[in-house]
Amino acid sequence: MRVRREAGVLILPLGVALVLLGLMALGTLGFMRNWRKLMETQLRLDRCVGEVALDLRNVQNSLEAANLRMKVLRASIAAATVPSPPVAAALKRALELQALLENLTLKKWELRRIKWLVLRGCDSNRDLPRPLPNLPWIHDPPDPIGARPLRWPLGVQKEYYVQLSHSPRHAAASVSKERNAVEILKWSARWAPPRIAF
Amino acid sequence: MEFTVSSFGVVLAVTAAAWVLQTEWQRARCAYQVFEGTHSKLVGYPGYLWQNHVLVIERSDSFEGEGHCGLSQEHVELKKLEADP
Repeated sequence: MRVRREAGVLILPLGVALVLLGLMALGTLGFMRNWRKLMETQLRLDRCVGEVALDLRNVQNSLEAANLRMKVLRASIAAATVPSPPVAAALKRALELQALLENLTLKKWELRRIKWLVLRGCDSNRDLPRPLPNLPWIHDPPDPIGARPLRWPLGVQKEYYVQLSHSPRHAAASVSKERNAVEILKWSARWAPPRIAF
Repeated sequence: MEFTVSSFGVVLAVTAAAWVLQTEWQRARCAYQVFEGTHSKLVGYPGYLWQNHVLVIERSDSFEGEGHCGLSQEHVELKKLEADP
């Protein structure tokens, strides 16, 4: 009489199925982890670049606003209608204050540029930063009226890029001066395609 | 009989596990593709082949992307740096 040996009949397919399932699970988890990491890196780079681009926009707009205030103050000082010396002195003090504010804003931006390079972006995460722009504002020497507004050199571009990379991801933003809907020239920031070669 | 019942149980368990895996894979892939498609539109960078499978709508202050991949549906909103005037 022949005896059918059934031992292993179930164990073998079950083992094969489990191994296949395990491999599928590992592959799936690997891809999911990779995708998640790519998205996290992109969002981290975006957050950092966005923060710096908005900083640059604010610096430029605050310098332009201070320049405008200085022009108004200088016109008031120069105007013959200034009633008394104390008023003229107060206007001059206000003018000096604006010039001081402009200098502080520029110094703050210089520190930001150094920090950007030292930290390689925002958080020392082995990112590759494109150097932040050196703002080419020109300090003209004071004249008899007092401090003069900063001057933007002729022919120099009014568009800058902030970019941070962590291969294979890049984040970039442009900060430029443009007319808005109400025809006021203001610096504004927007996301931009990355420029891969620095 | 015992063999048939056991085999059925094994097949059922393996199918269920495969279904869970496939669903999770689909969900993760969908999230990634919708993110990439929306991000490409946000920065104006035509970098991804599957961008056309993602519906991206531009709002005044953001880009909203939506994608359907099988049973999964993903929605992503990425902010512009400045809202449009």
